[in-house]
Parts: sequence; C-alpha cells; structure tokens
Amino acid sequence: MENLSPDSVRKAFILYMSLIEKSKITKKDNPEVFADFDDPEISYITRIFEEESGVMILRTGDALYFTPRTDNKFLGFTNEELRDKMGFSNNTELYVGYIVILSIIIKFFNGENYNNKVRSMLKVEELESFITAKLESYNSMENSEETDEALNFNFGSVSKLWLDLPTYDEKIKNFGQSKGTRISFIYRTLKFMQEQGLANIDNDSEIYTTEKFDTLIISYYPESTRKKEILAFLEGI
Amino acid sequence: MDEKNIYSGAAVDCLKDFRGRMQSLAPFIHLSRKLSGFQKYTEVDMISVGFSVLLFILENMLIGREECSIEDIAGFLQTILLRSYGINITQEESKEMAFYIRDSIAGSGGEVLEFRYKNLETNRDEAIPIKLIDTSYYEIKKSARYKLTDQGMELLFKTREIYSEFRINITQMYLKQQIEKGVFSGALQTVNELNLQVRQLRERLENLLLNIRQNVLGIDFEELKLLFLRIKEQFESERREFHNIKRILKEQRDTIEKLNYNDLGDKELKSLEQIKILTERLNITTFEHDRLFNEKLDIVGEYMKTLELRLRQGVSEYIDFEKSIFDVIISKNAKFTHLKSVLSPLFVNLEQNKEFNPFKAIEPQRIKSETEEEREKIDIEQLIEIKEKEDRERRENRDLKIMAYLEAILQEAYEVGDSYLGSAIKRLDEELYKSTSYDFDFYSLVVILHQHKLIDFKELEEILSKMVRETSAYNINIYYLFDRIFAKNPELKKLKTMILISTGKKLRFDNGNEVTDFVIKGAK
Repeated sequence: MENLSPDSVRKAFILYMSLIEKSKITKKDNPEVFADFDDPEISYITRIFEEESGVMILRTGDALYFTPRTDNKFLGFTNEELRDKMGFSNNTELYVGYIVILSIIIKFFNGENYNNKVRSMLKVEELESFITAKLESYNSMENSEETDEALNFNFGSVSKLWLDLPTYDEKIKNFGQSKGTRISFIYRTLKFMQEQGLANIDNDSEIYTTEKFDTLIISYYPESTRKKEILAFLEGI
Repeated sequence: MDEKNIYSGAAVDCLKDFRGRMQSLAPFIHLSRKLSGFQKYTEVDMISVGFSVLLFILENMLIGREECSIEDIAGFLQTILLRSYGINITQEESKEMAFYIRDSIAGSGGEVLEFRYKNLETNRDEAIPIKLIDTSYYEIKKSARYKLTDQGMELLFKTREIYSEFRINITQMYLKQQIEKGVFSGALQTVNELNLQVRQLRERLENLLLNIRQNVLGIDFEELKLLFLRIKEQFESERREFHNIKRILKEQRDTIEKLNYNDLGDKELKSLEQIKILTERLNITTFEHDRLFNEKLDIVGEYMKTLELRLRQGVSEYIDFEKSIFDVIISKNAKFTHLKSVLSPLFVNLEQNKEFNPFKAIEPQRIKSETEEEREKIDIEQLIEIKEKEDRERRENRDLKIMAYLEAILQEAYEVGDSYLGSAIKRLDEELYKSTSYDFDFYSLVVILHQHKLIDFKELEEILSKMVRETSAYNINIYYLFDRIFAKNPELKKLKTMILISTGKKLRFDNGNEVTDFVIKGAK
C-alpha cells in the first residue's frame, strides 16, 4: 500500500486510541469503529501502530481487545508498580500472585486437547487446594532445598512462603487487606484482576473470568508461533 | 449366514449412535446419582425435591419474572418440605439444602461435570459433559441468579415428551388451537413459554457461534453446512407459523370488533383486552425471532470470517498451561521474572501515562452522572417490562381522567341530591369539560353508571374484596375508582346511594355531539 489516504490514517488512529483508552471496542457500542477494523487499508495502518507501539490487537466476533507485548515498557508494569498495585512487599509475594493467576488460567482453560473455557465458575477453596497440591509436589522433589539456597526469589521461596501460611482464618473479615493466610493472597490477586477487568468474585468465594480474560487466553497463548516461543523460553531457563 | 451371526449383526445395528442416546440418558442418571446422597433428612425423597427445584428454576425463567436466587430456592424448599412432609426447616437449613442441590446438580455452581460411560458401539470409554444449571447474572457481594442451561431445559422438556428442535413448532400449534378456540388466558401463558423458547434458541445459536469462534479449526465444515440448512429450514417454518398465528389473532379481534358496542358483553370486552395483550407479546416474540433470523443465522458466514481471522492471527494449537508452564516452572525452580514474562500480556498499566494539564483548573466542572452502567444484556424481559410500564402509566392517566368525571358526578349527587349530568360536568375544569364532548371514556362511564341502576355504597367494601383493584385497558372498574375517590375525599363517603336515570332531555355540545342528560339522584 503505497499511497495511504489521510482519512484511513485518521480512522486507524481513532480506532487505536479508542482501544487504548477504553481497553475494548464492541460492535454493539461502536459499530463504525468496529467495522473499520475490517477495512483493508485501515487494518494495514492499525497493524503498523500495533507493531510500533508494542501491542497486539485481539479480536473475537463482536469485540476488540489489546494486549501489551511482553517487553512493552510503556503500557506494562514494573515490579515495583505491580507490588504497589497488589499490596505486596517483596518479589516472593508477587510471585505468589503470578502463581494464583496461572492457576486460575489452568482451572478455567485446561481442557482435554483444546483451550476452550471448561467451566464458568471456580471456588476460591478449590483454587487454594490446587495451588497447595502443586507446591507440595515441588517440596517432595529431591534437592529442592539445595536449589533454593542458590537462587533468590525462585520457586522454592514461593513454595515455602505459601506452605508456611495457614490456609484460612475465620477472624479475618477482609481478606483483600490481609496477608496472613493463603486465602488472603488469593483475594489480593483477585482484587488486582478485578481492577484490570479480568475476573470478578461473587458470593465472597466464586471466581468468574470476564470476556476480556477469556479472549486474551484463548486468542493469545495457543497461537502456534507464540506457543513455541513461550515453551522455548521456559525450556531455556 | 448362520442364525447366530444374524443376531450378532442385528445387535450391533441397534447400537448405532449409542453416544447420542447416552447423551439423552446421561442428565437423568446424573440427577439421580447426585441427589441420592443427602443424609440429613432420610425421609425426604431428594430426587423428587431436586427435580422440583429444576422446575422451579424454569418457572422463574418464564417471561416477566426474575430468575431465581439461592434465597428463592430456599424459600421454595421450605414450602415444599412443609407441604409434603410436614417438616418445618429454618431459613438457614433451607439455604444449606438449596446449596446442596445446586452443588450436586451443577458441581460447585457452574462447572461442567463429566458423565463417564462405555460406548458399546465403539468399545471406548467416553465422557459426556453435564451442566444443567448455570449462573445467569451476578453482582459482586450480592446473591447470584440461576437459570437452566439448554441441557437442563432439554431434560425438563423430555419429561414432557417434546424435543427441543420441535419445541417452538409444537408450542405454536398449541397456541394456534387456543386462539382458535378463544381460550385467550391460556394462550397468554403459551406465548410466554414461546418467548422463553425463542430466548433459549438465541442462547443455543450464540453458543454455537461461540464454539465456532473458539474452536474454528476443530469444526467439520460439511457437518456445519448441514446443520445450517436444518436450522434455516426450521427457522423459516417457525416464521411462517408466527405470521399465521398473528393473522388468526387479527381475525378473532375483527370478529369481536364487528359487533355493535352496545352488544359487547363482559366476556367480549375481556377477550378484546386479552387479544390486545397477546398481540403485543406475540409481536415482541416474533420481533426477537426475526432479529435472530437476520442477525444470528449466518452461521456459515461466521465460520468463514472466524477462519479467516484465525489464519490472520496464526494457527492455533493446544497449550497445556499446567504441564508446559506450571510444571516446567516447578521442575526448573524458575525465578519469578520468568513467569512474569509469560503473564505480562494480560495486564495493562494505563495510569502511569496520565499527565496533568494546568488549564484543567479553569474548565467547567462536570458533575458525575449517577445513571447505572447499562447492562449488556437487553433482553426480551426488559422490553416487556418497558412496555408494561408504559401500559401502567397510560392506564393511570386514563384512570385519573375518568376519576375526575366520576368525582364531578358524585359531588353533584352529594351536594345537590337531585340534579342533571349537564350540571355535574360544569364542575370540571375547562379542558376536561371540553373533552366530555368527544371522549369515548366519558360516554362509557355514563353508560356503565346507568346500567348499574342503584349503586349502594355500603356494598363497596365487599365488592372490592372480591376483585383486583386495578383498571384494565378496556374496562372501567368503577368500584376501584369510587374507592380511590373516597380515599381522596372522605366526605363523599356519606353518600349512601346514587342512581343515573334516563330522560328525554339531551345535552348538546358545541361540536354537534349529543348525550342524554341523565338525572342524577344521590342519597346521604
């Protein structure tokens, strides 16, 4: 595309900025902007914006979302910012937060040979026992303590932090503000996910993922090249 | 071929589509297995009670009602247990039982449970996903609302020997018969059911589209094309039938309206009113059905679009988050930054880029609107709710107008005793006075009062206790209006009787209309 029309550039920019501003464009609320995404020229220009700004636009049937790429410093969080957001005091605690999110992904999207959403709700108690079982399996591995001493903020320190905590304390009224139990860590993480529009919690213990979260997980991770990159990255640790 | 082989061939033949048959059977077995473990009340038949909860959820899904919460189910259980077993359980106990039933039928609230069985056709161990109840709506810190899934609906409809594909058709046939026979109150309930079925159809189509979007590469295109043709045919036949029903309804209405107004009895007026409501509801249902036909039916188009989109986004492969990510992190004792790299695309930090513009200080202040965020789901119930609200408002305005006419007549009877209609209407304000010359409601009111002969207000309380205190769209409920006037103006209660007597005298209006100038007689 040699000569791009100013009108298309303008529309592509409106689309891009609306998406950054609102995190979501739906066919229902913004039919014209949404339709622009299907225009070849506008879509071509938007692709350039995506590449240059380090984001990726994901589309489901009726909605557009975006995600910052892994190395995006502009729209991504630093560790410090994330600790502040989630109310964690060190990176081991932040690691726990990540484990909670990964476990939510597993419980919702690990189907048999496909990544469809396999449930609509997850109980906090079930999530806690899943994480505990995984961390206990780490503890039972040979030489786990040796590797622990060699590295800081590694998996061993997370496992120890988690397993040393009591599971639940009925005296605690607001788990989102405490750090004294495993459940408290889950609630702090969920609060952050809620702020990010990724999950909701109902009846104090039922976790629901949002359409945004579902789209990100189903469209982003299983893409073949990206999957290979992620697996290769983890293999190379 | 010997006899034994013939038998074995026939035996294999009868196992054809074994999975399909097991899919129909599985929800029933699931229900029976899961519900038989409740130990607390051994005398209670939990299968019946659990099944009744499914019926209760369905009942609440019918149009015009809110889907039920755990508290509603608990209340229902309290009633059932008291009624059928004489057991008086506390609210807490009934809630516990409601949760037990929910958890048994639907896992811990909404997950898909697996029903495992041996497929005798293929000789493989297979599983059928079961999900009978789902959360329909929830708000943080508030109780969730529940609905039946399509599978749950299917189970209930199977107990009525009606299969989902023909559900709408069969209900339409039933509705047609009811309208033809003039059973309008029953027809109203049938339209409500039809409405629900169209909504279920929408959910089924949306699920199908969602499945296409999420798993486009796993779909057999030829099968999808056949499914599309079948759905399209079904849709078209339903659409034709909806038009037929509307035509028959209109014919019924025309037949009644052809009668002279004076010949219309209570029955006809009531029928007219019911036809009006039926027509409105049916219009909403057909509108929704047409909308589905236009918007959601392009299944093949959606498939092609999604396929193209997927190809643009790259080929999708299965990623096992547990084995390929979590277990690798554990086995490699990875640092937290590794997991951060994997998960960081999920989060967006928009706050750090905000800059303060000093000129903001002189901008006019915007007051935040308190209007609630619009709920995404604008469904048919909302449309009906809006319609009903408008109806209520219209009826109330009409009531207020007729009350003013009636109050003028009562005042005349109370204050003067013996008088004429012509004098009574002079009590009205200018606008209403003018409207008496052309307002059909005014004429109806006068005729009704005249037909009642002597109205004895002593009987008012007794009459009111036996009727719904509301005015319908066609009828004027004078007792209800008397009651409202007396509440507003208690002095008028001293009036014991009133009667409107016909005379030869005419009341002539400027526009040329005439009405009998009735004698009004009131006794205190």
